[in-house]
Amino acid sequence: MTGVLPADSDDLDAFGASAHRALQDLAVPGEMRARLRVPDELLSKTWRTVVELGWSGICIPEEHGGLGLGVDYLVALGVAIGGSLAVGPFSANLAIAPALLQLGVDGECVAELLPAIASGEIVLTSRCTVGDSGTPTVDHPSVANRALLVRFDALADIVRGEMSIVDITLPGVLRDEVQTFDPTRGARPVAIDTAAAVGASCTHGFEISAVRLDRALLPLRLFIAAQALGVAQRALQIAIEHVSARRQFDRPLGSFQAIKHQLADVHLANEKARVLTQSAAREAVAGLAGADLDCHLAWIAATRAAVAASQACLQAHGAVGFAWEHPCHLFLKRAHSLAAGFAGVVDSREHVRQYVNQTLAFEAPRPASFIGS
Amino acid sequence: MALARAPKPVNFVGHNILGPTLLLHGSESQRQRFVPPLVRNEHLWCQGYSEPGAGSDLGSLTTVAVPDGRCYRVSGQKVWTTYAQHADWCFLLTRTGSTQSRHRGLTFLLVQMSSPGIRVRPIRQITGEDGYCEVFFEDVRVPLENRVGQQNEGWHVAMTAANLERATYFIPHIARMRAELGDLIALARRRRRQAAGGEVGNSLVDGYLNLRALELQLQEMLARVESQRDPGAGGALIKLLWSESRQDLFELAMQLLGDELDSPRHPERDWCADYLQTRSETILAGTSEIQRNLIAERILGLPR
Repeated sequence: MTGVLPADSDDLDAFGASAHRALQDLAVPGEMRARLRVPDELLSKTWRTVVELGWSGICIPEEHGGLGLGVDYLVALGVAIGGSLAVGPFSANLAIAPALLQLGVDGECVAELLPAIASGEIVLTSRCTVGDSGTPTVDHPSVANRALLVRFDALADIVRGEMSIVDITLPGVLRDEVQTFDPTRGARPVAIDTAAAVGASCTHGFEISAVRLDRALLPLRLFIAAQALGVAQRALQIAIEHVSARRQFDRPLGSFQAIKHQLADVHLANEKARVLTQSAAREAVAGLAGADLDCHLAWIAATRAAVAASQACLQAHGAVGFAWEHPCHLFLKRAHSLAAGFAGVVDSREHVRQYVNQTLAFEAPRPASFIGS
Repeated sequence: MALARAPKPVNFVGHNILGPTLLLHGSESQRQRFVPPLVRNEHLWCQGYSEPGAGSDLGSLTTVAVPDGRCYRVSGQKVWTTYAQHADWCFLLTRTGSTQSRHRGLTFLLVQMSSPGIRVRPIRQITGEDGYCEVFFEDVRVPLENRVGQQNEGWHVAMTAANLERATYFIPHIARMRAELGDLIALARRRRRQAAGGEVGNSLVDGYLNLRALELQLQEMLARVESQRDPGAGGALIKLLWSESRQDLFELAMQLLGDELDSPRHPERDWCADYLQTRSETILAGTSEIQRNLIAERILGLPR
């Protein structure tokens, strides 16, 4: 995203607030109360809003028909998506496709595909895997018309892989919906053989340096971190509302210190995730060298905070939180789903571990008396 | 200074707490009289807040100050007063209101430690050092002009400055933590003779994550103070995260030391003494329990 300046924090806050308002009516929890899956109408209504507001091209450069906004806006939008548990193939269209297409891994599709994604003419759903993991499943295919399937071979200095774009509107290309841990995903396997037989897929092989690839996918990792942060913040908010209203032993639950301390710890973890995610986004937009590392830290902190906050939210609610009708489980499941989902080819913990081992030990100045000892 | 591993400044309570307090609440003559010698370190200061019966619950303190003509007469006892045995002056929270007046009946006084009626007894700490003291006051005369702020408004005087100082207080501490983490990695390499992986590696990743979050939170807080916005209870988050994540680092060091536990000297730093010191950080300046209450009540708005 060169040429984009970090946004003023007031502008970002205003953008985040308006995104939150737009997504509020499209939020899943109410719809899922009496159902086992997300209705297709909600999905298509959500994606219409996404396209109308220009979000389908949020980070696509203006010359390709997008809004050309920086990763900091993608992060603000991600927080709103996570907080409202909105559904849709957000990562595929808003982060993965712009990153991979601009790397040129597909040959010449950029000028053609990016404007079509931005305009909503093409809606992608995607599946990225490292190594071979069998039949790919894609999320929310009812709202999409193409599947972006990417397989990266095991990580090396040069990453080899294959990228296919499959027309999923042709009959027989999608199999029946499969059960996923997060019931809001609506995942369906793509029958690759059928797709090839009916001429629905085009495939390109690619080779790219791992460092370049990781850097290009940085917006995706931050987008995942931002959604996790949104989940964490909203789960805490729901927990606070519950323990403030619910009374036992003639007192609000929230007046008990055991509850206070648990929620204080959740807030602490959320704040770590927030400050890291926002800073990494600002650094990425400004092109600072530390952005990669902070981005990996942000992903670790935010995915962990989302799981911890939604677990604490369930605990604070007691038995009612264990009912399907209550949204607690949707936050918990989304948190795990985000943490397990594709965020890039590099393992964040391993990346930070290497930095810490190789760099930090030599950064700290040594007292003179110990030099050479 | 912290990055270059300079020793901790001896007058840090004076610089970090009294200085900002006088600049905010002191009279013009108090500022002229006390700030220059503080800056030149001619006056070493100590802080008289905690008492045997008033630790986390400072509002119950009982050291009384009775107005008597041109002075207050102070009687009572303070405890855990850092470097009282070396200090020239003490800033003191005293009770001027009724016993039931809690935080509304406190007055902030500046007391010369050489005044008749003051007795200091150092307390040996678990580190073996005499860092803290008990301070006894027996009918000590303190001139009226040494009162900062109005009578019975001492809590406000002490706490507004405390909120501000929390932002600057942690600059050297967090800078020092980067060096501490570097030492810990050096220790892990030396003891394992290889790059740290596995459980140790995970702890180091967590340590670095906490350090980075602290650096960024501190930057945010300083930006708020610079633009004259109240940092509020945000300092509680930094204090809690800093003290507890640092305890984790030094606990890991103790595990890595193994049979070096009893050796008188380690190449990186004095791990044992520093480890013991970290155990005090979750107790002093508001225990972790108090910080969590502050976060829950002031930030999250949970009922008291």
